[in-house]
Amino acid sequence: MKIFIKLLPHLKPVISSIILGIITGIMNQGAAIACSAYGAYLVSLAILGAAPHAILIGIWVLIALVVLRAVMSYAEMWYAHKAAYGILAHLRVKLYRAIEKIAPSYLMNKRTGDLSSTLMSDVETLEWFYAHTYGAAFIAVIVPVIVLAVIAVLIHPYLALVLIPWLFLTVTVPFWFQNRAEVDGRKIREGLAEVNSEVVDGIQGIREILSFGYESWYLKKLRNANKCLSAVQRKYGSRQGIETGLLNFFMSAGLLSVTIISVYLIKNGMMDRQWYAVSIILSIYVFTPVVAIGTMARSFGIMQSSTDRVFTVLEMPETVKDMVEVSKPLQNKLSVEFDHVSFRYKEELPLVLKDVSFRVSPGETVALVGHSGSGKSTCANLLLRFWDVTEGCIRVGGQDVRDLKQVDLRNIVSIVPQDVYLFNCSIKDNLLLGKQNATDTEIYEAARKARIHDFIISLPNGYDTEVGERGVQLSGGQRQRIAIARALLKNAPILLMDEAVSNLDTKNEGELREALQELSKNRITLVIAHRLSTIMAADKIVVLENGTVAQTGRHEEMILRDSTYSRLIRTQYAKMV
Amino acid sequence: MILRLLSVTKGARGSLLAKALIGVLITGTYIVQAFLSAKGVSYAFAELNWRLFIPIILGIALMVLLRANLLWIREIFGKYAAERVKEALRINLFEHFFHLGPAYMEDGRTGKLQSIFIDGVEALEVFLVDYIPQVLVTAVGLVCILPYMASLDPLVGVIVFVSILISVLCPMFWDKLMNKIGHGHWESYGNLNSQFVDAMQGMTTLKAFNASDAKGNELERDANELYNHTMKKLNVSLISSAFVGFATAIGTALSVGIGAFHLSMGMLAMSSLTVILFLSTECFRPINDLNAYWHKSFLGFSAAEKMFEFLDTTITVLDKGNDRLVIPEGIRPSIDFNAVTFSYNDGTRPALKNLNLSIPSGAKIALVGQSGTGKSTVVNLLLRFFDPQTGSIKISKKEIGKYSIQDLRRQIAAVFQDTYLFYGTVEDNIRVAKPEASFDEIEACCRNSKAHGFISALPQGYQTIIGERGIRLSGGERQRISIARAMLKDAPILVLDEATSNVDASNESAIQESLDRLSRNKTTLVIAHRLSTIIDANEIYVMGNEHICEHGTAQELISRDGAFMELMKAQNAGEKME
Ligand SMILES: Nc1ncnc2c1ncn2[C@@H]1O[C@H](COP(=O)(O)OP(=O)(O)OP(=O)(O)O)[C@@H](O)[C@H]1O
Ligand SMILES: Nc1ncnc2c1ncn2[C@@H]1O[C@H](COP(=O)(O)OP(=O)(O)OP(=O)(O)O)[C@@H](O)[C@H]1O
Ligand SMILES: [Mg+2]
Ligand SMILES: [Mg+2]
Repeated sequence: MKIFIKLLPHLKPVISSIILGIITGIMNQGAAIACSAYGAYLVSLAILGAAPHAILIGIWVLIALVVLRAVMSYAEMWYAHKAAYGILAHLRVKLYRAIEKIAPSYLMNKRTGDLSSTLMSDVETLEWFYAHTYGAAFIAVIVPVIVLAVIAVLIHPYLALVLIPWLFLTVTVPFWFQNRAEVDGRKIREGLAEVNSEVVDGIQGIREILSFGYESWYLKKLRNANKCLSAVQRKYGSRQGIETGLLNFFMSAGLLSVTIISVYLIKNGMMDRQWYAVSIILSIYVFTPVVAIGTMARSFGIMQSSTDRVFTVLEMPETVKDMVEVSKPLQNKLSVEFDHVSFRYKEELPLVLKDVSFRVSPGETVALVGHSGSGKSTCANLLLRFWDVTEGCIRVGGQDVRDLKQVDLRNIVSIVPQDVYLFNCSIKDNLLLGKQNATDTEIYEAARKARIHDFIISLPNGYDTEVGERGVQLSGGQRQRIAIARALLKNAPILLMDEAVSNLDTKNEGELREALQELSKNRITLVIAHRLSTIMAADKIVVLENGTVAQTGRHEEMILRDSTYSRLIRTQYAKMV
Repeated sequence: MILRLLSVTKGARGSLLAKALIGVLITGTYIVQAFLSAKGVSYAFAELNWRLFIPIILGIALMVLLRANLLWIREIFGKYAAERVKEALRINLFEHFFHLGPAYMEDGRTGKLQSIFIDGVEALEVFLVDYIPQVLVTAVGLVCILPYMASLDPLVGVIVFVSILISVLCPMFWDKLMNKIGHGHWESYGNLNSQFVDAMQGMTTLKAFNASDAKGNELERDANELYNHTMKKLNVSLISSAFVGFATAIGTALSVGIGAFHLSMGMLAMSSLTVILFLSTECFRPINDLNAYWHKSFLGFSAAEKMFEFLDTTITVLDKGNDRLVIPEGIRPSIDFNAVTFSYNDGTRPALKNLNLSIPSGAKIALVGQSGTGKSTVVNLLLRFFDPQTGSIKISKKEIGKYSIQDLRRQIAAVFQDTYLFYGTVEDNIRVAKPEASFDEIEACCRNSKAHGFISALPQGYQTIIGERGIRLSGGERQRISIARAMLKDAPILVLDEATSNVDASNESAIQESLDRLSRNKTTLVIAHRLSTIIDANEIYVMGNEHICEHGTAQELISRDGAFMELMKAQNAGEKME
């Protein structure tokens, strides 16, 4: 029942369709019942010797009822689905917005396949609820009540009375096994999510699977996930089967009791013979709407768990919240300052950064270096406020980043991330991400600076070339240069480059460096790099070691002494100089 | 398409047949019940006697009990069949995907495939395990009831027959129309899924650029498009349902009405009329079920279309290899590229032109050159992810096409330019290379790739879950795991494409040392931009635009003062700049 309450508020925008659906639904059921009952009545009349022309008129009435029913059944389905699918579209967008708020930290523990199955198929499952359960529930109450009243008034109250317990039992069937249904339902949705996740992993990791000859192992894994899913689905199906049987049993029991009571009533002269067939037929049809909802309710387990999965995401608290309504004003000349920053990704994990302090003054280029895993990218993540620091604070332009709105903070920071992500659209659209309203000239200019313009125009479709999923149709270095162009296009006062040229050849890198040097005068540049040539171009070098700042200084000063820095780059230096 | 769907049921036909038989029995219980009820009505008008009614009531009760159990069993058979069919279908689809290889993902999309493989297959369940058996049930039921009805009253028989004809044929004709109108439905379902996967995986980037809002609007458009397509397709299917519903209802109503009319004219016996009253409902019960299943299959049909389209994608890299031709153990293979020309995207994106490359057995050679000159393409071709348009590639002097693909790939351990790690533990990820490896072997490889240190520092060591694509590790950590993975494979050919680009210099040189030690009896191909990585290769090939412009040892190349020297200078310029 929880789910009724949870899903209810979403009905609001489509309430008119819902109501129309219910009204037409009642008329549909009503017409169907009237049609059958009237048919039975005609039969009785004929048996009792009615004139042929009276029967003929009756046939016209029947035809009218059938037409009404066909129109109404179409209308009912149309309105119910219109409402349902409208809600689904709405819910999907809501889910995206929710995930947008909790990314990226939430995504660390989630799998794309899992989330996308929530957005697509869990939401799709709710169609059962919105299109086939919600309105049907109303109809299942209203129609039998009317029919019972008609039976009681027209034929005999006993008949109505004897039907009530069976109707009631029919309605309760789904509740008998509710716990089992919920447990299995959850397992099914989770199992499906698991299969989804494995499939996404298999699709995106195809090169690795093929090159390691891992196909059969992967398929085994998939088959196992599938087997687990099927096992629960079978259990679920068996329960549904029992419920189907019970529904049918109670419905037929209603018919039987009516048969017995009718015989009794007629025998005792309390009911006319011509009503016998009618009461039998009515006792069958009075169950139709109730059985319809009962049949839907057999799937409550799945609906429940899909609802839970959808709402878990919708109700997930934000990890990083805007703490202020309006950002505090920034200093004119921006600086970046890490002030005794400590950070851990999760409560139970060790500190990744420990008491890190350094400062980047306006116009300065600072290189962040250190062994792999020493926490460099983490610093970038914190500066963009994808996470909040555990202790200490990060100041941009004199303000704690928590005193800025996320949107404003990210407006002044532009990043080339370590893992470049290109979207499956054209090169131009990918670049436009940096600045949605950029003109072509601006785009070309940025691409030129990033040393990618010439390549792009050499392509048959130029800037409109589709790059494929994650940019598969480009080489590693080309992807990085597009990411750089994107960051340059944004033209923010703080530029963060995390291993931005790791896949770039030295020649292109050299040219790029020159271009950047011009740009770096009136902005802050923070580069993270392993390559010596990149590091040496910085005004200042901050050396991270195991999450602490081991050293700060200039290359010439540090290389001469035996220090963390000199040890770090000696090998590279020795080979090349 | 329907025929092709039938062929999908292979392996579950037994259960489907059983399901159909149970369905026939269920219909049987309904028919018996209808006869008994009809008898009851006749008695009600003749003489009311408990002695006559009790057998009827008991008979109906028996039918009811029987049916309840049959319904239960039927569901079980259905699920069993569904399990078989769905699993076979999924594995089939995936195997085809493996045959297509990475080439398919050039313009394929994860979300689209995902929705076909999962939701599409699920959506087919109704059609395969409910609709198909129900066709049999309907046929059998009608063959039994229809002639009997006709024998009672020919006109009623005709009415029932005609309305059945309409209700069976109508959806079939409608199907044709539906195909056109509802075409975009699954397309937009898959599209929305893809868009969402893309947005999800790039969410960090989106947020960094404050572009997540705009992406949300885009997604909203796609969601609405799906809504529109769904409603369109649904509308078509609802109209057909309404027609069928109308046909069956009018059939029932008319046969009862006409029956009553004939009775009043004295053309029909009362006992026959009561039978018609109940049986006319039973005639249409299987058809109504059939119609309901049809309506529920509508998602499945549009999915099936895409599914078959996918299964019909031609495999470009054909496995024509000879199984007996294997690269002998212990021999260090040589690799030759002979005048290889290759373009991506059906020849529209040239990547390699007339490439000649020869790696003597056991040598370590390096491939350097500007970005986009085709270095990674060489790896793609060597692994036969693509086949070149012209020229030949040989391993140990034999065309690589002559080996079976599996065997060819078994000879090569590759670290790709973009590392892909699977969701799961560190150990699982390394084990991919050799599922039967002992833990000691894995640990040794991690020591060699300088990964052991950080792995042991993780909260659960080798059992730590690293998240999707290894998202919970740093870039260099991921690369070191993928190097460990390649080391574990221990294949005679080792390919390293920018394998240490995100690893710091001191770790890199330590890894280099282990690699040198391990690759002594291997043929190695290294691709790198950081020249310190490749300076000591036996031979360096410098790639210019799409072809090799020079090769030789580092010393030779430096003295030649050509393309390589240019790269060197560019690097040193940066270093000397200060
Ligand atoms: N999302 C995460 N959850 C848990 N731990 C993480 C997460 N991301 C990174 N870490 C851990 O934090 C440490 C620092 O990671 P970070 O990415 O900052 O390193 P890095 O200095 O950028 O290294 P590299 O040069 O290899 O990119 C690593 O040990 C890594 O395993
Ligand atoms: N899947 C693909 N589809 C279409 N074109 C591609 C594809 N992969 C690469 N290309 C193109 O082929 C050319 C060679 O790419 P390749 O990846 O081999 O370059 P690379 O030498 O490895 O460069 P980098 O050093 O930047 O990694 C590039 O111009 C690239 O745009
Ligand atoms: Mg990093
Ligand atoms: Mg490459």
